[in-house]
Amino acid sequence: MGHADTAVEFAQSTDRRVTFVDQQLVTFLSPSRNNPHPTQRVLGDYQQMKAVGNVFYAAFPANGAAAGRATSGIDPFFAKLPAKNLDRGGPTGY
Amino acid sequence: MPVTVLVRPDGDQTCLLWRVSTRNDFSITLVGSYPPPGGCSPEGQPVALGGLAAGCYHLEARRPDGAVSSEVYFTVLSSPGPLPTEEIEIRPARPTTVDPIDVVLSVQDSAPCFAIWGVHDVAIVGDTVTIALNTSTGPSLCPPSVPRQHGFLLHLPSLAAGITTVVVPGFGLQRHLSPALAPIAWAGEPPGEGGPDLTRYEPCLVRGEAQLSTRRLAASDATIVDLVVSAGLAATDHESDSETSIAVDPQDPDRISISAFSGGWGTRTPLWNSPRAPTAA
Repeated sequence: MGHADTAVEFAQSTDRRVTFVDQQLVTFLSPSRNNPHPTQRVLGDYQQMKAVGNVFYAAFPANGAAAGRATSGIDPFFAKLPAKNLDRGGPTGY
Repeated sequence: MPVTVLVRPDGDQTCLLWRVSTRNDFSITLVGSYPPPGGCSPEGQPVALGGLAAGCYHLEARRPDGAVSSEVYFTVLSSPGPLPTEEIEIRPARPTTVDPIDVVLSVQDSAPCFAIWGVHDVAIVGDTVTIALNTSTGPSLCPPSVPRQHGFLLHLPSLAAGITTVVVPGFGLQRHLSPALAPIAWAGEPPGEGGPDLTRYEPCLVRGEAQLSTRRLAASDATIVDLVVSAGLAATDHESDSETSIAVDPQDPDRISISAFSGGWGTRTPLWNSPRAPTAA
């Protein structure tokens, strides 16, 4: 089994959950193949996002190779994402 | 349980050896590599690599109750120096907690006199641990001059994560641990979680990953930062920084703290702090 092709996606709805617009933040390959460990969780159990005003702040794990590291491994990533305008769908953050 | 893998120059060849620190019922197999080394034997002990090439080698350590695999990166040194080594950590499927638990065993007055000599066996099945005690019974064990005890304490210095029930046969005890007492694998994780996966999934770029990295950070109106790179630790950080949490100061949203499995969670816990919002390095 190969290394899982993984994407971190951020989806927002500006019409009160009727539709969502998806935004791909990072794509990467898992640094590990599947192994026999029942506890294998390359990304851990959770990731987290907070909102302050019209801005989302996210912390998520991803492969540092996607950010240019010479080796493959999970790094903590930070994302600051503007909220879409509820009426027009455009960015309103910052 | 570390397994130390040694690479030993041996004439024109390079031998891959291994050493197990505490048990000898292991076998290690070289099951693959990238890039493939010339003349690499698929398995054996030791493995003659025939001119070791720098790269990643996929090793599997196996013992009767399981196996673990790991990718090991070897670098060919141009000058004499310490032998390169890699450690593969074999961890129990059920990590233990260090929180001690005391179980009170009650003794009925009508029970025969007995003495406990020790623990005969401990078995874990599912979420239940069964502790069999070595006991003897007989009236000589409770002379009239010695006050009869009505209970004793079974002190469990640690329990496997996920255990919710303690059974002591012969004493009618089936103790269900409350969520507050049930061992959890990692500080802050709710009961029922498995232990943290602290495997260092590193360090080999796999085939095609370099191309993928060029598609990185695709979002246009977002700020995305690899904290390891931003902190200048790209060459030295080998932790598996998974399971991230974030705190943002609502009064000053540029003050941010992020936690991950970036090191031990003991008396000192690594945090990624930013006095201002992180920016790409």
